Amino acid sequence: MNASTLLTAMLPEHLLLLGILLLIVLEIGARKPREFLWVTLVTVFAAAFAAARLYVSDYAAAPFPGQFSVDPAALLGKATLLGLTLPAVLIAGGEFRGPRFSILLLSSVYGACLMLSSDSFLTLFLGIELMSLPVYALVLLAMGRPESAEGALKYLILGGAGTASLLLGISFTFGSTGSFGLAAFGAALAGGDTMARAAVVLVLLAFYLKAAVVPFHAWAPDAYESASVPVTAYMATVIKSAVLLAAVRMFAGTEVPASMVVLLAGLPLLSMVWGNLTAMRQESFRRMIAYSSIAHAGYLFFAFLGPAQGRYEAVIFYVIAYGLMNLLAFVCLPTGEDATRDRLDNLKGLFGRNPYAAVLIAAAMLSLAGIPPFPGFVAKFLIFRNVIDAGYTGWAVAGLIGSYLGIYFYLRVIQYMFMSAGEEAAAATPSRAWAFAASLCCLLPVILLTIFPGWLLDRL
Amino acid sequence: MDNTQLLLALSTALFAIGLAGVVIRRNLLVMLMCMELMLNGVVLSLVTLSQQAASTTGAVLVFLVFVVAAAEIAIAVPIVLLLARRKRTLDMDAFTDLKG
Repeated sequence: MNASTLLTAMLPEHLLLLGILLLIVLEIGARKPREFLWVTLVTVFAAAFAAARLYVSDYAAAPFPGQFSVDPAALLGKATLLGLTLPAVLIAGGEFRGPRFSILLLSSVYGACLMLSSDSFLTLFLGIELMSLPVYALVLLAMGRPESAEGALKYLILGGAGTASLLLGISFTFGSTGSFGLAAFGAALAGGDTMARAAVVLVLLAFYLKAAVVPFHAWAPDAYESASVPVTAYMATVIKSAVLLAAVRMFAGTEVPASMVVLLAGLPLLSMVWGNLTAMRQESFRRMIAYSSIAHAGYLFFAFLGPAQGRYEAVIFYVIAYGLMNLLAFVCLPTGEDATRDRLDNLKGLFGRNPYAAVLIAAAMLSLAGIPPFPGFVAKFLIFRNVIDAGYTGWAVAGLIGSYLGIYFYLRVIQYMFMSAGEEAAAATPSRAWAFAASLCCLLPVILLTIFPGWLLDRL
Repeated sequence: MDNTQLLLALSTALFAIGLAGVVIRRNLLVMLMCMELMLNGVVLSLVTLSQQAASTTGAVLVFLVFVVAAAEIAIAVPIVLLLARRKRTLDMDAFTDLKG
């Protein structure tokens, strides 16, 4: 381990840390709120650029052998997460100007990056906690709304229970394999004794909880609704993606043994069906997205049934397509009072008031539903193809049926925007520069991904 | 039943009691205490197993768990305080503004 490896391999993390320190210094100097936002933006962009640059040059190193290592797969994951954070920061431009939001957000992203590079359960645990703890506080930041504390508390209690379950799983993994390395999980998965079984189940339950898979989803709708829009966007995309990518790293090259298939396919299937059915009767956009994200967590966990080498490709493509489309819908939401801006009724007649936003939200909805020309379809196709390749045709068919239950509520949003007359309550609000920049920031990659999905797939 | 198994059974029992408490009890502070009980069960099992395997990594993880548990409580208590100030109660069932 020499200094230059340490510097290069952890460059995205170092940049984030630098940004956090700079923000704290600025906070002491009591600078103007706008500067905090610029520092955050530049930090996230620089870190994303560094990760992408290292990925392009196929960089791989292990600055802390056995604890922390980077390889192109991890770097691409980091670049994706950091890139998805950018629009969330941009839409925060109109709402949070203080240093609190920026510092908490950067710490959380730091944790997510740490998770994706972890080689041992120690680093993984630290990463998960570093990612989750600031988010509890971020949910609380929508202080103007009294119910935000309630959402934050529910998230924190269930998150805490998830952490404890992960730790007990780690402890049992150590007991049965004698190692804290991430590879021990694969060994425990293949091993047959009771302790290894219990370890795998406990670790999986913790991941289900963090990714909000039924029946461990209870926190998600409340936390998503009570947080303000940028934080919800961040939770629905970056947190979920980070958890899933870390799970891919943890499973590494292991095939799922037959005894675990029920756990790895049953709960996600339940999650798809339940998420999609419950989303139908939601009146709030954020709550609807929460249930839709519960369903999407189900599709993502289906990827683990497939053969090990196709798993990473399917998950990273899904995460990119899903994250971009979700963010696109969030950045185009009409502006207004935070508590009411996402009522679905507000979207009525949006096409008449703001055609640009309405068309983009419609595209996002169609892609999330998995309708063909959009990247969401390719992403779903990759996952289900993997499941069929592995020979679980029955599960794949059930999953496809479950996934297309969701079309109803995605199309309902479109119907509201295009076919219902608006109440003409708010005269067309001028689109703000921040939101516009954020929408461009999502739109360009989306267009590229829609036209050339093969370009990305060839590189994976 | 030797000591290791006894201690592991004890730690699992602590974890299970904590989990049951989080699920069943409706008092916010008791729920937080039960969360801590779950973590303490884990700590006991980590100490037992790493003692048995003569490994120091387990002990390091125990310290990390302490730090994280403290941080979690440091965030939880202010939230509980906010909620208690607003509703004048610690009963979880009183907090039902979010439904659906």
